[in-house]
Amino acid sequence: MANFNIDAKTRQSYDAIVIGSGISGGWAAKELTEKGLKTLVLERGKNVEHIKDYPTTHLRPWEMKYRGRLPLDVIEENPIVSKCYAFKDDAEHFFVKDKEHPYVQEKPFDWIRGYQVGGKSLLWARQVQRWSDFDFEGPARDGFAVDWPIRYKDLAPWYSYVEKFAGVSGNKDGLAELPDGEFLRPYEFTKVEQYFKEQVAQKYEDRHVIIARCAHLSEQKPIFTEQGRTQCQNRVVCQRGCPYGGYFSSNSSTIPWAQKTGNLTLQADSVVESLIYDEQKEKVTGVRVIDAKTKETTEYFADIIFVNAAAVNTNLLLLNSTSKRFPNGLGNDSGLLGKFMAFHNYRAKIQAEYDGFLDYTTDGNRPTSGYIPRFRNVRQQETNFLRGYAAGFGAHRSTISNTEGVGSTLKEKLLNPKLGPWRVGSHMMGETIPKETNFVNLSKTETDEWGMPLLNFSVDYDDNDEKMIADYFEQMTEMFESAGFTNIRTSDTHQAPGLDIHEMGGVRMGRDPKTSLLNEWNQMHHAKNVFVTDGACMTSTATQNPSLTYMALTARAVDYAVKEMKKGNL
Amino acid sequence: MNRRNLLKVLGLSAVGVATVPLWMDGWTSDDLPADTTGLDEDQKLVLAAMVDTYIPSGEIPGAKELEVDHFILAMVGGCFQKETQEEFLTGFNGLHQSSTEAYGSSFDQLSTQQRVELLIKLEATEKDPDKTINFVPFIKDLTISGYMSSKYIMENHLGYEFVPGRFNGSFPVEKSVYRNA
Ligand SMILES: Cc1cc2nc3c(=O)[nH]c(=O)nc-3n(C[C@H](O)[C@H](O)[C@H](O)COP(=O)(O)OP(=O)(O)OC[C@H]3O[C@@H](n4cnc5c(N)ncnc54)[C@H](O)[C@@H]3O)c2cc1C
Repeated sequence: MANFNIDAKTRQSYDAIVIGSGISGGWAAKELTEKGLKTLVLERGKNVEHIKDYPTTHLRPWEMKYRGRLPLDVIEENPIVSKCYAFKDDAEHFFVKDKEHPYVQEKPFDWIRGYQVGGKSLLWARQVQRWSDFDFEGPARDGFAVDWPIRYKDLAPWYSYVEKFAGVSGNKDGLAELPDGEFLRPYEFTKVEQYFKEQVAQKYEDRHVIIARCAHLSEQKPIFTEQGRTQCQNRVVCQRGCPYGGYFSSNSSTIPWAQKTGNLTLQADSVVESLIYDEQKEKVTGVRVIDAKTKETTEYFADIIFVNAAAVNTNLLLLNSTSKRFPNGLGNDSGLLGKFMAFHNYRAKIQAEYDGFLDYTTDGNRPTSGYIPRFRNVRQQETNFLRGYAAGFGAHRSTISNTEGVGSTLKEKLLNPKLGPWRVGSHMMGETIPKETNFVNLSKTETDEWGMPLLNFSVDYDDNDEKMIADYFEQMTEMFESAGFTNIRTSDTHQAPGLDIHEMGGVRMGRDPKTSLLNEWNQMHHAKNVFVTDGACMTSTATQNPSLTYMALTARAVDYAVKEMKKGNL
Repeated sequence: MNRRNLLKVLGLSAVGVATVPLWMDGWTSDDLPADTTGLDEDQKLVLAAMVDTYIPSGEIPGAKELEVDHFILAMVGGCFQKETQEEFLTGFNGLHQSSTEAYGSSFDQLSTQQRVELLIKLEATEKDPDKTINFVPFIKDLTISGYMSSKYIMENHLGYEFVPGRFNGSFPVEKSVYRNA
């Protein structure tokens, strides 16, 4: 018996283990394997191989079973994930179904997940904006959460590093609040977006309309050819998986790259149940894994562990990793694990019309849209709420659907479609303030199919969020009015937190082990060979789409971890 | 029926028939989910007559040739609630009644002129807000959406390209497929 264990231990030992193969785990895998570490990536979902496992990628609208609509039984069985705009016929197979992976909602939370190799990197909207020091300095300046242990200068080289590999299209806008990156050629504005940009620039010194930076290959470069990726073809059916590798996903980019090093072992259908803490060695030695299909348990061992299960699942995993030393979850001496969860406030929308530039429309498709960086409270506090919001912005011609008549008169109209006014719209992306009262914890009574406790959510909006929505409506209405937009309508979707799919926190970074779980290198204060580099590490949320920051933090943390390992410090 | 007439009924030109009809290329109604609505064969003829009346054939194929009736069956069977499906079924009885009352025969037996008249009349009167659907307007909507999302119409008349490989933000309307002028 003893011998068998030793055998198993040597057989199943790696230099590094990465938990999760999504955006952040894919980067961890790439960096670790490139630096020569034998790396095991454990992924709870099924394998999804680039191109081969994109079953809908070549389907034209008329080839989709219900022309892109989902059958009613699928919608009725999935009231939560059905709320996500991308949960349609062409991509529903990449989303977690409500019934398969239940959770507890002490307060409503729409938890949108993708369990497969590649995680949500297949599904994401590919928007990638850098943070600035106005964001990193937020908690310290405004007195919430704890101070970030890093600043923009610490991350800037790593932003550049990941952008060059992932491929980011954007325009050099020269804005301190949204630093420029390593950009491929930007996508164009539409006529009315360009007009709005000019109108806003005339009236407001501190407000800017830019084209959102997105992880698309708007041009080809040798580094992308080397990855087997080619230029984006403007199909904009990205959520199906792209056969061109035109946008960044783990599947098209980091995972095949890691595979080429010969140092990667990628194991799908492997649910990590907990991290194993060795009381004698006083360190984490490995992970306990349940086979998703057979439910068999196996242990794997490694010198360093990267936890990249996506923000909320990383919390679950660490809370479930209890030992005599850590009865309340791994590294949780502070009692803060699972707390200070935050997200982005996506409730507010505004729509309008514009009757100018009627001689123009657009041609082809664009995988991104307009973007208005945060302009509230950037340099100083100036409103009755803390922080602020960024906004998506877009303008497209509407089509007139005149369906009057029967027979040839109707047919004539349908075959001679006409364009209506420009339809203008924006949605808010608000920063929320992390609070101890917004938390996740483990259910004491309910477990899932694999015997893991269900996760319970207690996360909500607060008064600051409500004030911010009111301000967004006021400011955007004013901006729209002064540009001559008409028929302006605001709406509050009242959607639950979670549907933004930017959930963050619970394992936050900080300087002091008493008030944070990770140090400035995403390293657990109390378990030095464990690194958390997904959304769980986020001390605050800023307004930017967060995944680019996870990528940069991951590459930076791997660099540090491997150096420390070589020094014999881990 | 002589060959000329057959071709006319099928909406084909004598040249086109030798090859695979253009709109059949790569897509047939067999690709749609099987019909689960429980419509009987007579009712299916009525449905075909309805889509054909709304969007008749001509130089450009109409809704029946593009098998929009099959699309409607698939959509009703898969994407609508039980209540809607029941109202869809009973809708055929209602139409049959209106048709026999007005013209003494079943909808699919009427002349084109009579069908058009009847649909116009029913479209204007079927406006019951308590029903989940009003039958005739419902069929009309589905006919239009099935027709406009068909391969033939999307590719040949709506300028649809699956792989455009470009984006132009200021494109003159006059160069587009839209007829605003
Ligand atoms: C529709 C949509 C649009 C989005 N748009 C944007 C956007 O425009 N910009 C942006 O920045 N972000 C966007 N996001 C969010 C973005 O997808 C996530 O921030 C990103 O994928 C997070 O990366 P991750 O590695 O933390 O998690 P994921 O990519 O979700 O990967 C986590 C992986 O871990 C696996 N896993 C979980 N638990 C375990 C376990 N116990 N054991 C083993 N494996 C486990 C999961 O199966 C999954 O594969 C969007 C998301 C969606 C769904």
